[in-house]
Amino acid sequence: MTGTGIGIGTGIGTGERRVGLPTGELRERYLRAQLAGDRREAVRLVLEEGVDRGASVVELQSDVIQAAQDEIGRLWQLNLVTIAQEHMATAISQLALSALFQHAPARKAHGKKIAIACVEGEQHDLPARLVADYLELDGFEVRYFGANVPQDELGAMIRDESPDVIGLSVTMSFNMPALREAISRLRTITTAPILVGGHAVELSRQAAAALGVELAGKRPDELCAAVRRLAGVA
Amino acid sequence: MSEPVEDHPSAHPNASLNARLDDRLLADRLLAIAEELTTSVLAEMYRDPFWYARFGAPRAARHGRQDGHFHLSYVAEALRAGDAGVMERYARWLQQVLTTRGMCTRHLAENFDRLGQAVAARGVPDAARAVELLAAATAALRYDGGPARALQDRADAIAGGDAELLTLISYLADAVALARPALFADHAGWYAGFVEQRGGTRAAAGALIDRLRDAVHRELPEHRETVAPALDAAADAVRHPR
Repeated sequence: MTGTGIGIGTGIGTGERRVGLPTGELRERYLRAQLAGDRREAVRLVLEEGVDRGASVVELQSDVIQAAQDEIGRLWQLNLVTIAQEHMATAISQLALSALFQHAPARKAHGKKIAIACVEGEQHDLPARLVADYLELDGFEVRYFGANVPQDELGAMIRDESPDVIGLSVTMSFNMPALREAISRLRTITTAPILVGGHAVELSRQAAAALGVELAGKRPDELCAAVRRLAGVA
Repeated sequence: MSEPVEDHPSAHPNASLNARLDDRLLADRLLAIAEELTTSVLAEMYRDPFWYARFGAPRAARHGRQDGHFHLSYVAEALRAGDAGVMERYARWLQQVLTTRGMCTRHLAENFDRLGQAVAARGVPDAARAVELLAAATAALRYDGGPARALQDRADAIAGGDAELLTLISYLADAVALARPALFADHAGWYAGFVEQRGGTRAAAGALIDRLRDAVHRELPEHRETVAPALDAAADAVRHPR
């Protein structure tokens, strides 16, 4: 097995040194549990084989859950899983992320707030949810609005919450007009920096530049660094 | 490259800005007529009895329409981003989506080409920019190398002017690119049934596979081993209908 090993941990609380699974193997087992629809096994893997063996929560979110989701997307592309299987797998990842979130030691709050939403019409909320989780663990105060946020309501929430940074997510290219509309409406409400992410904007680095907004990095460290910079966190 | 920069039209400070504004305008215009463009493309494409026979009329109509709108939304995004890479990445993604669901790369290329022709025929200002992007998408459907690319490059020589063989070669190239011989066998099995429906025989479909094999051996002897599993599986699927 090559690749980064997850958690040659110390087994906190037990005093015993336990060797965890390599990341790649944990991801494969997690993926198999997802495709089998085995919710308990998927959650057990990230908690018992991951957290309990000393893996960091962010590593599990990114290199196991996010990576498995990317693989599910690729398998759908190749017609090796159905849309129903993809939805089942994604629901399992939502569950696993919730379980991990409870175990996550958040960094000290630095008082900066980010609001995160999927644009109107966008139903794929897992990428935005991951971003919300990463940033919350990085000490941000997060307002996460989930999938398909109506344009009017997004504006109203942003007015009420006055976040330091706004994150907008768009997966499907046919929702790009909604992203454009959201940005132009938000520009009349706030000068807060806007960060965009998701498959549709990742298709072209130039797309974000053309919209006058920042492109969110896919890796949690890149993402957190970018949002910290935008929010003015030292 | 050796000409002085100031002689180049795009060196004028407003030229690139104007081009960007024109591209955005073109994007809006294309989306406004997306339905008409899609309808005209499908009307031509569905003259070929393949589509309704293969996917059924309702599914062919629904997906064909949806795909047309998708293509145009990506053309619009590529124009707005000023990045032909949007179309190239979309084309490669869609190629995998569709070639694992009963279509072949040749069908997708044909669809992009027809859409380009429809855009040009509408007399939309700056249509050439959209046509270029669709051509970039078609070009991106060429496989990177290996036997799948060789099949694409030598398709005309292998087919020897036979349109049915050209389509079969495209299915074969896709199955080889994906390392999934069963995809080609599935198509060949379906195709034999289609030939029968049109008054032909399974034996005739089998003979076509044999001709394809001979032509591949003649034109691409260095790849015969790699291509053999797909051809064998296809011959078997044609001979033994499920």
